[in-house]
Amino acid sequence: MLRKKRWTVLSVLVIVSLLFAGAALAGTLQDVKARGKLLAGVKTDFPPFGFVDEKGVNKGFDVDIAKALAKELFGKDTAVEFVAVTSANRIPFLTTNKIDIILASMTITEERKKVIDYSIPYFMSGHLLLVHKDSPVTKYQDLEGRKVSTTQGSTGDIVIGKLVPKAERVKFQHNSESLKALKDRRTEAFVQDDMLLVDLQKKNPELKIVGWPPFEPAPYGLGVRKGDAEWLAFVDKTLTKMKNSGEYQKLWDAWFGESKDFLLKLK
Amino acid sequence: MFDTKVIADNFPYLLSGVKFTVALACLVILIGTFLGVILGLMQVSRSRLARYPANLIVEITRDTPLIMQMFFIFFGLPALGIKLGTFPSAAIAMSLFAAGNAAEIVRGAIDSLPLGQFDAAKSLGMNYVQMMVHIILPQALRRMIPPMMGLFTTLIKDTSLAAIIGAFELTRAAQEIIERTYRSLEIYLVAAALYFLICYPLSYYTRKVEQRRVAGV
Amino acid sequence: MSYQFDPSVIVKFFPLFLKGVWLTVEISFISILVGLVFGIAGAVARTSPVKILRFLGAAYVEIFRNTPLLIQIFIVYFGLPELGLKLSPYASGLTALILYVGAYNVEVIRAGLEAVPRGQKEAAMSLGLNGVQTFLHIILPQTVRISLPALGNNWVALVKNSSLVSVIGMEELTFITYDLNALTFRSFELFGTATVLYLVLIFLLINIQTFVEKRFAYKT
Repeated sequence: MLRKKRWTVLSVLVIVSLLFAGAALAGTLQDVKARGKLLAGVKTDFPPFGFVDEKGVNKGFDVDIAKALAKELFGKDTAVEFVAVTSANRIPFLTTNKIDIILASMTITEERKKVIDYSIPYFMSGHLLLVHKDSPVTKYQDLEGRKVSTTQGSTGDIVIGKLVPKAERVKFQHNSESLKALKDRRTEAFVQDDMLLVDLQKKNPELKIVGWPPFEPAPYGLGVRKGDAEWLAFVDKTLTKMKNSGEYQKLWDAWFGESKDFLLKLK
Repeated sequence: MFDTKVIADNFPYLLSGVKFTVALACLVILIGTFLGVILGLMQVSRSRLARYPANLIVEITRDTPLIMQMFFIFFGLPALGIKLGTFPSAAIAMSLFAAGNAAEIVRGAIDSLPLGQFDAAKSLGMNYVQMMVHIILPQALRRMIPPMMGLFTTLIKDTSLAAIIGAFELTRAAQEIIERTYRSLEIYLVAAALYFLICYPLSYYTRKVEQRRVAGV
Repeated sequence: MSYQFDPSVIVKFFPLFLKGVWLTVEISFISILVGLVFGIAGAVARTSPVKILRFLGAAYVEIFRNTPLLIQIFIVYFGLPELGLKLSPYASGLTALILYVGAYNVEVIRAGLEAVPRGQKEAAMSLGLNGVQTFLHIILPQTVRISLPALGNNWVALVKNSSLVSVIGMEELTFITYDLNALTFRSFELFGTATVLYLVLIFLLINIQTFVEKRFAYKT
């Protein structure tokens, strides 16, 4: 009896999963203006792009760009609410309308382009390796057969899977957890975007960065919902305006000035 | 080695997470119990139209991990046009999970009543609703209380899963502090202690009620 | 934009799903067995005449039952290295699951111990069995038999709870699904498939448990 009931449950499930419906899409620009504030998806574990300081305040390059967008929209840079996202959940957050835009150090990839639209590139990033000072690893090829921390949904994870399939990836949901595993010597390296690792290395002098120059470079873009042309045009226009007015360069210098010698140039 | 300053500095932030944990737990307990009683009554109903959908919900919510249900509602449902935020997703997934488990407790309690009770109510000329309200539910209620309270403790602990889809509550607050400080042991231990302070009184009281019931008082 | 359903990802990733299912089964099985040992040891401690043992048994049960498993997993994997104890994700996940299900088993087995009639012990002693023999041959088998239905509930809960070790990178069913979702964004198909796989797993477990219960039931 009980068993029969369970199989009914199963078959109903299968039928339900075959049904589907579409999703309506409104213009984000009007939504944002009507709401009076911008919902910006930023990271909290990715300095210097997005992190939270001791007082719980969101800081970083991405955070400042969100503020500039708010200023362009409403004339004041406080009309923005920051929503914490991770590499794995930022795209679902966007497609489910929890945020208006992704400002989360997100690399432009073909796979993601199928799901969302990207702004013009606003940063050029490659991948590096963070290892212990005494590590024999000097380049990504050395990772073969070794344990490597990666963050789920990050390009670092994808790139290592492609370049060094024999590396043993240990995957975490947050960058802080990937770093912790390396610091505890559970893994021998942490592969992520160059700028993040530079920042983390500064705070953790027992670690060093190897694998120069940054490999598999790719530009970052801001992410908006697919097909929302008006909103995308507004975002692109604002980014271009920031670049032309020198505001972009000012932010860049403030957050990355110390590292300018090795950072890849945005073409 | 053990950093007490990091605990003192971040304690207020953890408490701000406790507020959301308590709010989520209360919400889920209220909605879950309400839906659970309805589902439980549907399960013992004579009508197939009531029994089958109730059985379906109860089986799915009880036989899959809660985190899968959260993932499905948060990540999967947008495909059907249903788009919910992290907190509502967690609240809905947990309410359904609570309802399924509460329904099973209600059904179990009603099934355990002697058949004579049903016959007696009918011979008094009561209709189905009268019988349920006046005879069956009051008696079943006494048997439901200990397992219901056990379920509430489980639900409070399970609110921690909301952190995995990114909803802010105690566990997520702890993770955010660790992202800044890298002091996992201290922060998670304090978070565990806070959960313990909320759950222990409830489970202690549950045991007392259970003992009293078994003793027949 | 409307979501385009693509059932082909289920076929494409099915071998990966099966790999995840296998690890879920493996860790659940080990936790069920070792958790039973923890449950018996804890129950013996809780019913012991020695006060300190009773206290330790009670502390174990209360601490592990009144805090979230998720936090326990984080403490074992991310917290313990600060004390010099570094376990792999596999060992950490198993440790946390075993300690958790063990605490629940203690209460079930204690109730079972108390349900064995006193006369059984006296009869065994009068047959010349010593304390340990009496416990192992007379008391324990009856206890486990009495406790089986409630233990079964703990096992179902365990299989569901094993999904939480995904947060420390243990590549079981939930991890595989979450990881594929982060890479392909085919959320509906992926989480739908995983849900059905869990249902199948739990149904199988319940059927096995019903079989075992019948097999060892008292003949009446």
